[in-house]
Amino acid sequence: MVNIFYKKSKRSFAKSFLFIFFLKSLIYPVFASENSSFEQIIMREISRDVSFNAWGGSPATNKYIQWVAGRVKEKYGIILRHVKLTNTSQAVSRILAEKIAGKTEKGSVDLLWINGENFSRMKGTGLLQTNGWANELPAFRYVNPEKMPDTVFDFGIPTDGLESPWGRAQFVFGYNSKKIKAPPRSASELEAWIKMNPGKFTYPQPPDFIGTSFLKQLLIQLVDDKDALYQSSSKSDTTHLLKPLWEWLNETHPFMWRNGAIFPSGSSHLLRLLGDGEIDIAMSFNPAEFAYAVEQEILSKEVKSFIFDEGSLANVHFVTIPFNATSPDAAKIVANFLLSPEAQVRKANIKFWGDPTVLDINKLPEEFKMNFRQLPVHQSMLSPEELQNIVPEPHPSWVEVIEEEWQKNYATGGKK
Amino acid sequence: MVKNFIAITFVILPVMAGLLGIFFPAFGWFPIYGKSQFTIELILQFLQQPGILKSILLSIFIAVFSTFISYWLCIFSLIFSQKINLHTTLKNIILPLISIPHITVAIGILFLIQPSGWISRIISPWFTGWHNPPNLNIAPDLYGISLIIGLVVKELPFLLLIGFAIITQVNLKHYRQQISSLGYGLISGWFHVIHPVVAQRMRLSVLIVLCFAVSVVDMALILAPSTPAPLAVKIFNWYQSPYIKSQFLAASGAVYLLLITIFCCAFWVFCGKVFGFIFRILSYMGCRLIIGSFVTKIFFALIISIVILFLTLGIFSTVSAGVWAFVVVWQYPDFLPRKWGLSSWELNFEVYIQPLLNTLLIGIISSILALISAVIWLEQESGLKTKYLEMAMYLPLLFPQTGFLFGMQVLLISLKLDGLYVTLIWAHYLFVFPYILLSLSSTWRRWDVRYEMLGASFGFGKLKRLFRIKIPLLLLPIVASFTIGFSVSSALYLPTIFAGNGSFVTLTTEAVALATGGSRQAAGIAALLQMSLPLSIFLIAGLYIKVKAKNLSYFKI
Repeated sequence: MVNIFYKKSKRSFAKSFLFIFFLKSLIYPVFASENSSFEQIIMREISRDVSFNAWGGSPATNKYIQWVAGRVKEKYGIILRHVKLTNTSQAVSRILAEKIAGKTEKGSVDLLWINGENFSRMKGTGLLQTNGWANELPAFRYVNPEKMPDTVFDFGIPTDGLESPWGRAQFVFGYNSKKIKAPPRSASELEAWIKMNPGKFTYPQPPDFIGTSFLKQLLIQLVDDKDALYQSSSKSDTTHLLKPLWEWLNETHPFMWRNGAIFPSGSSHLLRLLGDGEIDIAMSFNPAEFAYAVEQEILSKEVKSFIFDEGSLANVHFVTIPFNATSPDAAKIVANFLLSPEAQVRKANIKFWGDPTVLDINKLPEEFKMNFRQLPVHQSMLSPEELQNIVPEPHPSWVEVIEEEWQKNYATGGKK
Repeated sequence: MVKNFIAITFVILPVMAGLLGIFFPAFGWFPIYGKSQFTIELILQFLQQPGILKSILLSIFIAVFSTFISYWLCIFSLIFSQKINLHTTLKNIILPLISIPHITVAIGILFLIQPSGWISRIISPWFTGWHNPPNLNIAPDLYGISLIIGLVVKELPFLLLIGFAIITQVNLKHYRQQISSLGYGLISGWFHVIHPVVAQRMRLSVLIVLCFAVSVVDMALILAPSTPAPLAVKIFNWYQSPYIKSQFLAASGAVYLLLITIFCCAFWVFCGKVFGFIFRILSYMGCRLIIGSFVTKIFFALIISIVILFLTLGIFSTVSAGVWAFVVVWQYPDFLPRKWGLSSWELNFEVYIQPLLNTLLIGIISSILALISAVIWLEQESGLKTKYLEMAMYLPLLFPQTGFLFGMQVLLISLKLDGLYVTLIWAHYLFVFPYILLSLSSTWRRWDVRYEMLGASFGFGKLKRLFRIKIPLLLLPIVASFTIGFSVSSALYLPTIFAGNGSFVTLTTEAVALATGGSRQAAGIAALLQMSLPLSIFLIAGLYIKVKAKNLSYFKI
């Protein structure tokens, strides 16, 4: 209804103006006085149909996005459509196809959930908006880039305001504590464990990003020259550097689930295997994933989380707007809402999703500070203190190298 | 004229453009990427991709083998249907199975046969001693056997339907009398006399099945191995990769897929010729291949039980997919869910309204359009020229979808036609029309001209004869082919993704997204909803036919 209202707004300009004014005064008092340019965006006559392309493999995330859709419709009359992707690169290649065909406006994607190599690729090939809009969003003032540089550096690549931080991800393992008393806390311990428990471990097949992340997590532990990983892969001898990783995998694959001949399709598949008891250790890039699954009765209560002693991979995920978005302004409003304390506190709640916030809680108004402190804790999730043990993401160029080599070594059907 | 116009504007031109869209990049001409020199380097480079040969062999193996099994099971069912009336027995299973989308079958089979699947739960732990799912390479397995099973479950009913329709057209009784009088038995008589006729009429349908199996992506994503994946899946992944290099790989891959498809078809036709040749020689020699009636009986029982097995597998796969939609907790190795409920519906129900409406709307509109054009098509008298034109209408089913759809997408975007509802409906029409034509043409061409003469003697014009006599009398096959068209549309995955620009969600796109990730519950709901639409259309049509059929002689599709 509201959508139609806005689309026909030329005929009923006065009416719509009043309506927006009413909306604005009702729910946007905080920003109204301080950020006049953003206020103007909200009031302007803009297309309010936003196509949000986001990975759709997790019911928790899907439901959260549904909630966001409800809220932005109430607040700003925006119709948010969630286009469920199986892999973010799907949308990137579609935007690429649009660029090839010279479609510079009215593109199919308005807002895209993204980070890492997809972002660096889009930024590099000019598939994004040209002005740095993200740091101008009113809610960005609760972000603390000095304290948390990963909110403006995506895998070490400066975001330049081309994407807006949304959430925090960290690599964690989940394990069945009934079967495993002391989980393996390093690459070598894991290797020993896999050999002791044949068929009980596996990882998603790269280029699934959890699978690739697992390889990166191992790589950071296994290489001597860690600094090389934080520079472009073209600067180092990749064959030599990656050798310990392939050796580790060659050693362990024969003892993995399905003898390392077949791999699960993604982390949700992995979770299913853990739930069925096919494997005893799974992994996720969301520290709350296992707690959420326990709450949903997908996993049994014995499932707990752990990370490697040396620290676990962590990164921030973002939302971005392509160069040819149909409703870039409305997409900005949604990005701002996603970053708002209201949306962030719900996202951090394991009842809904459990994705940690990108905001600096100390910068928040008192009521939201309280909300964050009162978030429920869960026995299947690591405490914030335990999760502080992080290692940063390697340079994005490594992803392609690792994935290609993996493909060559393990996805060609023959033994190496 | 109308016919040529329809064919050329809506089908042939776009399909050809789609093909060019892959050939140019495959040979190095892709100006936007800064490459505009024709070269065969890319095509050659392609073969050096790791594991490519295995992918190609896997694709060929899956396609040929699944078609082989479906075809011969179908042929032997036809042979034995001379003795017992299999048709009426199987009809009630075949038709609903045809209307169930591929993805539902794939999800269902996965939930049924994987090591943690229902079958394993039923026999564990009391029989197998498994308290955890066994570490076995099943679904997906390394050789694509699970995918072959899935394809046979889906294609066997289709071939049976076509086969039964053909043997009702061929005057079987007449043949049988002659065959017996010459001293041939049931089986050898079939191969000497009836088979050449039936095989020729079935060829197009079998080739459609074969080509589908070469280029299948949606089912393969769920059931095929990924180390390496079949070629079609690999191409699909390359298209979706953000690296420019991958786009060239995908284009070259699509050319190879086309060659493989042509190779498979040629191989199939060649084998058919050899087979026919052998029997011709045998009949010159007067060899009658007498098989003992006991052996025939054993063989008969074996074939029939395999056919029944595949059909029941089809039914149970839909049941197993459906059950998961109502599961809250179902831990291995429990025989049945521990906790039933609708909690996963609360999570997901709202999300399905949009895809449900899209599926319904696109399916109905594209099927009606296809039906109308099929009637126009069949009403125009056919000459040699139109015969070739008609072959061209089947091109969308014979070309590998993965290839020409991408080429077409670039074309659509440059015409600014991408992502429109109209485009999406047209893309569905492209695939719905040939199926409707296929299912309608045999009945239409069997039409007794004397009715028309009678009409003409009343002074009715051509149009009046069509609407007053022909359509009312052929209403039942028309309704039946509409349901087939709808179920084809509701199962289309790649055309929806490509033409719809990924921004239109249908139940099929949802089901694929959820089946490869998400929870079993969500996949179960998607599968259930996805099959419920074509199935209910089918049931409504079936009821309608039942009511109508009282006044008419028994119709056959």
